[in-house]
Amino acid sequence: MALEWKTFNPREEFGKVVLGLGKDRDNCVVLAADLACTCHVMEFRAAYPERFLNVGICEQNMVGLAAGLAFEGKVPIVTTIAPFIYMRSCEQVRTDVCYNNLHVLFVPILSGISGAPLGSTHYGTEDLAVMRAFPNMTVLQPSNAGQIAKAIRQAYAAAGPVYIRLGSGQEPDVPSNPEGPMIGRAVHLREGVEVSILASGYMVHKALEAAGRLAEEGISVGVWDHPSIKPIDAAAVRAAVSGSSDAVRLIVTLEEHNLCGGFGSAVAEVLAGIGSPVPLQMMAIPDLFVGVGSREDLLAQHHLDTGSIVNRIAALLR
Amino acid sequence: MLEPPRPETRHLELHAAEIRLNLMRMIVGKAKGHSGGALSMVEILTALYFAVMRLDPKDPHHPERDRFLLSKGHACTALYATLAQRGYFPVSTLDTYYELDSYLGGHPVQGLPGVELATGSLGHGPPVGLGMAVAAKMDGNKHRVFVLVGDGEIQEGVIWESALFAAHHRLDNFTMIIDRNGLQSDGHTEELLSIEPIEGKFRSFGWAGRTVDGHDLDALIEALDCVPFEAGRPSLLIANTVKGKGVDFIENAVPYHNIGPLPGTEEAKRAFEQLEGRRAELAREVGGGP
Repeated sequence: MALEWKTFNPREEFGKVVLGLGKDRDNCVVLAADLACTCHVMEFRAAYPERFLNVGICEQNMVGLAAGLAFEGKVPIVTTIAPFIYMRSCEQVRTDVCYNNLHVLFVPILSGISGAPLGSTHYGTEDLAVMRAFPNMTVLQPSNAGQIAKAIRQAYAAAGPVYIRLGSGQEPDVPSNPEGPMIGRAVHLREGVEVSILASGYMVHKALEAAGRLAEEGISVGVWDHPSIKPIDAAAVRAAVSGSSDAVRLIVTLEEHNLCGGFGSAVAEVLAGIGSPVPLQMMAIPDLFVGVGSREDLLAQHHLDTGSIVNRIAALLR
Repeated sequence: MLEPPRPETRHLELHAAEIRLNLMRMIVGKAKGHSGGALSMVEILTALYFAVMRLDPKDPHHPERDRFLLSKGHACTALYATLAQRGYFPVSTLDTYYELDSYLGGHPVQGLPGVELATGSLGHGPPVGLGMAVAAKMDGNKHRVFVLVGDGEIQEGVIWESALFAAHHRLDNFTMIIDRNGLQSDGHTEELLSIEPIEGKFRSFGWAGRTVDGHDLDALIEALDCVPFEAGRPSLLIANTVKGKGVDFIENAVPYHNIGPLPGTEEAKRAFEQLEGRRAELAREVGGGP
């Protein structure tokens, strides 16, 4: 049985946070590209029309504008559907913003396959790979409502470009509350002995569900939530190698992203660097274009539902 | 303090001649550089930096300065030589062009006094400059933004996104100058992907436009003094130029888009003779230099 989760809507949460930021900070500028309603920034527009730019369906121009605004001391928050930031305006993100190390917050919605059933034109399954590769960029993936507020507030107070990956629809509001800085820090959610699951974003609830189910089968599983994809919390990854009693037999990463270059890869880079002897199982969307269906059906199709995760871990331990 | 010195035309022409000579020294010295597009825009930069833009070379980040972006960043040697000529840094700094860890690379980067932001990926300058223009309007600041683009560069789609935006938001503190030298990397713009009528296109987008001889300093200054050409509209200045201007065998020569004469060659000797000849002639006329 899946756990019963209280849910939250990432877009609504984002809308609330930027509205609050607009009130607190008069250099906060929001940019949308004809998706202001979809991205829930209409309340910001109503409250602060002079600091809101709907640029039309021109994402490349939008990111260039954000760079110019940031250069002049504004803190632009750029929002649209994920692929239109990390692909359509990719070069502007990299060259105008990251190369010049400008303080721009990118807050894409519909990341991963949260836009299902819209199809792969509107899925954001490669963004972590792309954004992680840009120097100066910080990459965050909140896993609950409170983390969205913290991520945006802390990104606002930080320097340089930040990409804050948000989903869509109703998502489980997992109990994962980082204290203090979120950037570069993971949250240890559950103690475990034999298996360490490192998850991020929407997949954190599945990690907790799987850990609960495996416990019923007598397998002790630790769970970490990594809202900071870059910089990754390397100390937390090292802690996951040890577990509660230096008896970890398997490390699992869970993400709603292509297997190539995402959160699992970030963890693998740390493990390779320390010469971890513990096997790593990266559970991610395979290297293909995801089709049509509900988010949950598609995750199940690619063995990323709780039952499949439990079965794979149990099989790997046998 | 920020007002431009605005010397007489002959003195400006001498600045331009010295800028041409210095950029050629850089390109030949390192056997690398985009000579054609650098030589074509020297008068545009001379007009902007010595007669039009409000700036202070000793305080490059002065908040009230006019902003300039070289969107056609590959022609950076002309910008570096202009900044040195204007006093942002010593002319000897030009010797570090292409050296390890130099700020004088193949495209402008932050760190070199006078350079606002890294530019050079074509099409990127206008949107970034428009962001600066929007910020100025938001804050009630009076400084202006000038972005210099190449003519081939306007084939980039994002240029037209930015053209729509600038007109829609009535950004009359924004001026785009097109170095209309007629050539791009692989040939003539009109043969490769025609862009004419440029002024008509921008006018239909809601811009105010003018066209001048891009080597006539008086005409450039007269036009740039008039921006915004119309209140409530972004300004477009098309500067008709000759690619490779000032060196006969580079003028209108397609292969010299991204190369220059190699050191020690007859071509290098000829280029220096022509550029130095012009500089010396102007120096004599103005009595030893500005």
